[in-house]
Amino acid sequence: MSAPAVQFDPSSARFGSSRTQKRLEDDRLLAGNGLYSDDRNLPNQAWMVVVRSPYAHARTASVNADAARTATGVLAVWTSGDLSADGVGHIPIPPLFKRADGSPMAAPLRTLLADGTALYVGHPVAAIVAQTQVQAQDAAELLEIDYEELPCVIDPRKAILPGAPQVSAQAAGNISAEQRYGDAAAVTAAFAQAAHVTRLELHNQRLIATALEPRCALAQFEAGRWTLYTQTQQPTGTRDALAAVFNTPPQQFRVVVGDIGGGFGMKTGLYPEDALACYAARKLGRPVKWRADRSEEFLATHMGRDQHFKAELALDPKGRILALRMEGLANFGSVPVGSSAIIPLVLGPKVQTTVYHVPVIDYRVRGALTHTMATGAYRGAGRPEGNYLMERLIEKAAHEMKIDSVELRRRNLIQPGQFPYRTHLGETYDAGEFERMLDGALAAADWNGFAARREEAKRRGKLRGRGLAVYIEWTGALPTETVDIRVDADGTVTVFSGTQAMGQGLETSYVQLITEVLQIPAGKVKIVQGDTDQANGTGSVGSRSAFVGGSAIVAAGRETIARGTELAAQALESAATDIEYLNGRFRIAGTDRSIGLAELAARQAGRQIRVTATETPSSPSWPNGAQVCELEIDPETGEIELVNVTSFDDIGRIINHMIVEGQIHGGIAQGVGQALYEQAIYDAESGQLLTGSLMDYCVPRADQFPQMATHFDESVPCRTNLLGVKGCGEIGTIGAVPAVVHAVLDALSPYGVAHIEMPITAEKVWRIVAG
Amino acid sequence: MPAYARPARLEDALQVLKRGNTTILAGGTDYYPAHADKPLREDILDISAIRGLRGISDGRDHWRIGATTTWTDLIEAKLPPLFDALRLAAREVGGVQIQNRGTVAGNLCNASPAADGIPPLLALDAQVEIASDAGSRLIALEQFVVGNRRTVLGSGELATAVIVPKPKCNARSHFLKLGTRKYLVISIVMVAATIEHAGGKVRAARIAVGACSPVARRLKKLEAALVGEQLDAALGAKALASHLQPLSPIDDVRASRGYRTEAALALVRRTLDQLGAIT
Amino acid sequence: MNAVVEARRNVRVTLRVNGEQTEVLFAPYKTLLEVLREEMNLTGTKHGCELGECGACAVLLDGVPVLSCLVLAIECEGRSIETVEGLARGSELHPLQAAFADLGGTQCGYCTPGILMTAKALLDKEPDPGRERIREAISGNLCRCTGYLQIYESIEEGARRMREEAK
Repeated sequence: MSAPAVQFDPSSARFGSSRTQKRLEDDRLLAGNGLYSDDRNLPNQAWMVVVRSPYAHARTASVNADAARTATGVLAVWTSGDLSADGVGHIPIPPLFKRADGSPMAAPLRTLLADGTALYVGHPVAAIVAQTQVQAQDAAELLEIDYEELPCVIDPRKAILPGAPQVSAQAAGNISAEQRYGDAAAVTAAFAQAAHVTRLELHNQRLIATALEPRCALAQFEAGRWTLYTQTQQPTGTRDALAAVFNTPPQQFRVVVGDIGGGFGMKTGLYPEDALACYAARKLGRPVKWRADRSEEFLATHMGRDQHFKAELALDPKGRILALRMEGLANFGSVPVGSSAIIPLVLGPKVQTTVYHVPVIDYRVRGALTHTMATGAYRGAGRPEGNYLMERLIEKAAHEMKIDSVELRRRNLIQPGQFPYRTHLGETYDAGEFERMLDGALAAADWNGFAARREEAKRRGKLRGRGLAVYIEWTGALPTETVDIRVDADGTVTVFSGTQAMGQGLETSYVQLITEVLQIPAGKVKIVQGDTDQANGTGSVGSRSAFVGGSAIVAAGRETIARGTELAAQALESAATDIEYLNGRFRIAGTDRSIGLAELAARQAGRQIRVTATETPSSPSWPNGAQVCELEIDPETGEIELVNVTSFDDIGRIINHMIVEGQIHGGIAQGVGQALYEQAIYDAESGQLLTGSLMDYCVPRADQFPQMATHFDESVPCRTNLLGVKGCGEIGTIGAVPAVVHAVLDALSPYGVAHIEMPITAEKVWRIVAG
Repeated sequence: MPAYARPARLEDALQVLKRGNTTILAGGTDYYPAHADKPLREDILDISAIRGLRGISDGRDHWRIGATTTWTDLIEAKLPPLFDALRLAAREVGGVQIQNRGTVAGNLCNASPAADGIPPLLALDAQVEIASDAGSRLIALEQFVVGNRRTVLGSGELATAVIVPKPKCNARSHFLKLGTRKYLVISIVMVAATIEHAGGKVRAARIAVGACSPVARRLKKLEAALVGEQLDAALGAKALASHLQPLSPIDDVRASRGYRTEAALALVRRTLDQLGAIT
Repeated sequence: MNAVVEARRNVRVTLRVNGEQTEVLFAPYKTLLEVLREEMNLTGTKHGCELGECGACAVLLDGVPVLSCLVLAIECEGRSIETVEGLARGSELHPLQAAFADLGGTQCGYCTPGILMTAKALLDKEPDPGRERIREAISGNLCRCTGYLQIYESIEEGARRMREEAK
């Protein structure tokens, strides 16, 4: 077993962490001067609307576009045949996965418009472009599409049964892909030795990211080249996918992203509407804009979760875990997106054994196709599902074995002496102090003082419960990022990064890092993201930006000093080894001869210094922590009132406390949303989305929010990147889901309930209380 | 392109209405959501500028809530405890921005089964004042709303006010609502109750339940059963499952029929307990 | 507007936005949100749902918060409209904005203009509201980023600074 290389550099870890920095984004965002995609307009732009299937499964027998084409202001009406006649292809997905028989993952091609058969309610069927949005909307009502409705299947457990309606001829039995991990024989042997086996089936229900900013695309085609203004967490990936759709080199596209009104994983990859706008702009020779209305956002942006699990945990007489056997069934939807398969098949398994020593595991996971919108990345992406399952298992085991659930966790936690720790699934944890996080959370939440609070609530007629979760997160997907730095003659330092801010204050964190490396004021720094002509990279997914992107920025800053030192040596006619750098100036040590960064840049050809640095952290990082939730239940109506959530996290070194706290709060909010309120529900018969508005899909509102207390332990820096940071964007969600569910179960302990499926609505609680 | 009229005088509004096929708009908070992503097509009569339609006036034997009185107007008005139920309902209509625009009368005319204003106004025995070119008439709210999003308003007619009669004895009211959230949610159950009392005993009761039938319903058997009962914090115990017979809750994505029924009973009891407990 | 005004064509209306009178030409069915963004280029007010469900488009009409997606612009003739662009005093942030910057009240910024305007109306009316009043006041504004806690704290701090200023 080889441990990952240690890259952590204590001298880098000070960067950014030594002072508070207000967010640089706020001057524009608070004044209403943000530039979101819908805030842009181009002269002579036309408007596109997308006509969508009202059926979950239907053949488009015929389309009569005559009336729509001749309506006032209409410039074009297209269906799938028009696009293929023009050589427009489909949006590719990574060919990473296989079916059980070794054949490649099977799924319908993600064409821009449904190719003869609509496969979910909201599937784009036609695009209409007119002079104005109203004209395009009017024309959409004139389009006559003769649908031949076909039977549909919504639930993946039904989709894989014999005789179920088929989504794709390629995917027999609606199984799109399958993955197996672990050692089935060893697990069988371990179960034979078990003193106790805990069994659990559960569903991580389907969620909708509900970023407040609806998607919008504005495309322009000029001089043989496209510019697409959109909102994406992955500008370079979007550009490359466009190149694949139009079968051209990526350089034909410039993707420009301004401010983003929330991403949460949902704004990853290329959406068909973006590509349709590009098609329209080229075809019509004028800029074309499209903006989703809220209903389209509900129907046709990729959703999250929707994974079913069956699991068995084998324990010895003392409650020590011997083995885990589990089967996952993920609902990919009908037309998978780039992240549909990787989440259940790879990302969930990475953390499945979480903070516990699980000697052996047998893990099978399948992805099924159903007549629903695709699922894909949503805050946590696989890790909330894995952690939720493990925490539910251990909590259930504790109840069944009559061992205190905190104590049972302690008996199974990976101990500090076991690092680097290799899980049975082959992941290596570089460091962790899991029990310290557990103790921290218990102390901060006054776990031991709970009995008095429960009594007091009881006097008010309320059932009070407390819930605990201990969890691990995996961050650092695609661990390479390249950063360019340009120093101009006026002293401006411009940092080009292919990561992408979407509200998480990345600009601020990056400025904190670079100003400290280069010892220059923040006003001298410009961060450039969101323009594929200027910066390229993987983008911002999987809480990787500070971890990978931030490390690359520090590396590029150091490269700037190194390159500057050489240039200064020439300028000052000295040996590079004699040059020292301080506060933006290079000086011959021990003399008063020096040259500033700006002046040095002015002397170079092109009056600038340019450097590039690529940083590749040697392995992923493993943020971890513990959360405690307390809540109260009204036994007569089943209504739940959250009282507080306390988190105690090891996310490594912190660059900006205010930003990090906001990330944890927001993460907790989305976890609470999953635990108690949110669920995308399709009608089982018709495949209609029943929760297609903000009135029915319950994103938590201000009055539903509890007090949150966040605590951090910065003493365990990540050892595999320069900065020692671990990533904080998703950990709040991961912890909140089980902590809240456990609090509900604890409150209901007098009623002897073993499990409740999420979201835990008042009605579900009431059913238990009412018996 | 549709026509848009925003008269300042009621007579002019009634003339516009006479031509038919016109949608009446006050705060617009229900109208636009129903027309999501579609350009407006019908002619619109905007009544928000009509003089004299906004505000609450205190008459000899009634209060008059003008048709364009907003929820915020109502919340801020000085009104007796009789109006507590309506005031509580008003604070949960949408968020504050909706309360600032949405009107009490508009809520009745839109006639959603989950309209927040209807149960409290039923419990107030409210009447609706209707004007047309031919004159004006009063109709009990119970008769005004005839079904899911249907009222008795004919073409050419405009609801101009809600009339709340003054009770004969001391009276107070209360409102409770169950939903997934408090604000901007389609309610699962709503209960409003008015108790008229004297000498520590119930003299008259009016109890209405919303979101459990196509139109919010009064529980008249329960109302009758309460008359003469002692006013105390155990008043709710008088409510029985059989009293809910007028209700016909549905199963939908928000809640099941069984839960709606049980929750309605729990909320009725709680509402009565709380009314009984006030001394 | 008096008596009956009917408009089957574009109307020319004078709007008073952030204290400035502007004559604007638009179709009578246009909402205030559309006119602010499309005709006046005031894009600080955001499209969120156009159904009155998210609060992103909240502005002040005669000092009270309304959803500009549910108000026809034609109805606003002669009335005072305040948007987020009018909040700062020149280059200096309004105390409420400054509190949001200091306490992390904004993340992606998309809900922020609606929340700022709604909170300003509350604080203009109630200089020292408790947490419960603040919760109630902004319950019509969805935020998907913050979990609301830093927003509450920002509004409370903004209120404190506004009271200081008023002394």
